[in-house]
Amino acid sequence: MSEEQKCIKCAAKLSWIGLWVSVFLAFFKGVVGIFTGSRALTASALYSLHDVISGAAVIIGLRIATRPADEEHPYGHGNAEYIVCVFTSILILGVTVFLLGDCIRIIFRGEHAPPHWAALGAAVISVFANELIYRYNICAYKHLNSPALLAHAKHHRADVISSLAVVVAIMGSAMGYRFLDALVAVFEAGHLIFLSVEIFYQGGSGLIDCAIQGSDISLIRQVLSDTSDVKEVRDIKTRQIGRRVWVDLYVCLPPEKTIAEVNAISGQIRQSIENRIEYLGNVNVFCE
Amino acid sequence: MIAQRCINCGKKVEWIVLGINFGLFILKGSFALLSHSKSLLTDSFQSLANFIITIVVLTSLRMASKGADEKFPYGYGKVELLASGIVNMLLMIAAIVFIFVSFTQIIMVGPEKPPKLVAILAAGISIIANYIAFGYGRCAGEKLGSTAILANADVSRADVATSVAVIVAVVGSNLGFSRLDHIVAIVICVLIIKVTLGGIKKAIKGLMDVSLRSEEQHIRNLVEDIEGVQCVGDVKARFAGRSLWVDVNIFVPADWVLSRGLETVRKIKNVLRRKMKGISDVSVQLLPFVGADDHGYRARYSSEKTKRE
Repeated sequence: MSEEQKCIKCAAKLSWIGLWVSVFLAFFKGVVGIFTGSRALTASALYSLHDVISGAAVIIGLRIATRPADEEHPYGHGNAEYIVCVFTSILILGVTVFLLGDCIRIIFRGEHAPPHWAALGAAVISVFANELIYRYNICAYKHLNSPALLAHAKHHRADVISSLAVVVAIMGSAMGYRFLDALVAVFEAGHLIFLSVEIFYQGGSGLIDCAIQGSDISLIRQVLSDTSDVKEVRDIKTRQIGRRVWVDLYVCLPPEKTIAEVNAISGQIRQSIENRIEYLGNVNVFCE
Repeated sequence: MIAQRCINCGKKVEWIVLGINFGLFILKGSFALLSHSKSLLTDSFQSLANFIITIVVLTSLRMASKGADEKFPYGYGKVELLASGIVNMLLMIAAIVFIFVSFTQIIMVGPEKPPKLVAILAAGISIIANYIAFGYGRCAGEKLGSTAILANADVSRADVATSVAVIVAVVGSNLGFSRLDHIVAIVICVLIIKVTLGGIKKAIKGLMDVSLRSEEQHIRNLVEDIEGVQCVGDVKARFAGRSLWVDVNIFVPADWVLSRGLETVRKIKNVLRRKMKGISDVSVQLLPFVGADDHGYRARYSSEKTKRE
């Protein structure tokens, strides 16, 4: 039991440690990459920046987004998480495209001095730091079986691989394969564009009120068809505000019931939906 | 009664402003390259910015009119907010980069040849064109009562001011104040940042579904006057692009039958649709009125709030 508690504590700390390590690496690799002229290392710095943002979005999601609704924000603060995702992913996308253009220019011109050896040092530090965080994450994941930890671990593994590629690129360019540095950078930038677009799409569709997944909607439908008083379901509208699911139901109830009875029925529907769906924000039942 | 002429005018006005902005961008950009005026270059950049924002708004309006579907049950209205937020952010970044470039040029390059006087011609045309666009937009906006068109008109008027500043800069640097051109360029960039920051804020507010106090109060007043409504509970309004989604909770006597309650709901919907502009959907939740101190209401809401915490 105490073993497990230790693991929980360790995991709670890990997300913070991982975040700060990524912040440090992003800055460190970025500065070294720019000064030594290694495009591959600069791209790898963007990778770490990407980790910082996804980590920070999770923390913001947990902190701000779970704040309850208030006067100013009657629907809660859930969308803050999406906004952070959208705006930062656009920033990363912009920088990455810029870097990609630069690399392609270098490859076509064929004039690229091999980066300074300092870049190699930075890449090696990044490999070891990320591998360490990865090991810790995997250990915590095995003990606690949390998918979030596995996702974190995978991020750091990807960082290890990208930094290893940088090591290869820098050594390769020093040995005479000059284009290797830019080539590795192109691959990393390409992958990063893919990742940022993915984050952007998720955040963006959340912001324009995307419906929840179909299986949850059919769960709601199931609840409504189990309730005998519901004569007809006109419409089910759902949207996700951050982590919470908001549901608007438009149903027809028997017109001869009194308002008190109607209220009891909608309370019952609300309760049974609450039992089925995690992270419920609010359920409104509208009679038509 | 709004004249048909004005309605047609309102439809055209955004396209006309779009054309004017694009023309001015080309004109001022090419004259800026001819005359080496930095301030005219930033001014042309501002016209380009207006052009892009207008295009984004027009395309997202078209997308918003697509209506709701399975995936997006509340429609695509918020695309407009999202798109304008992103465009404003990109423009702000561009303006910040431009400020840096101007600063390094002032410090590193030192005194340059003053810009040629042809720049004044382009700035003069820009003043006249933007003033026409402003007058046109304000006429249409006031007649139609559209805040969107009025906001666009204000943008045109702000462009008049920057073009005046360009003339001052070009004349001044030819008279010997050699850095005036750069300084005015920086000032214009700062103005662009201010405007884009406002746009970003507005977009974020919309995307966060920030409470719309005045609209909500207006709705509350309208609903309270309707016969049968004992008391109004929560009123929530949010923007999906330009249209309003409204949620109202009302308390009616607990012993009413549902059909009578639905009659009241229909009345509320009619009144709101008639009296307020841009309402796309009204949802009314009926709650039983227990007593004058509405214990039921308080109990339900406080329990829900603690659950959320």
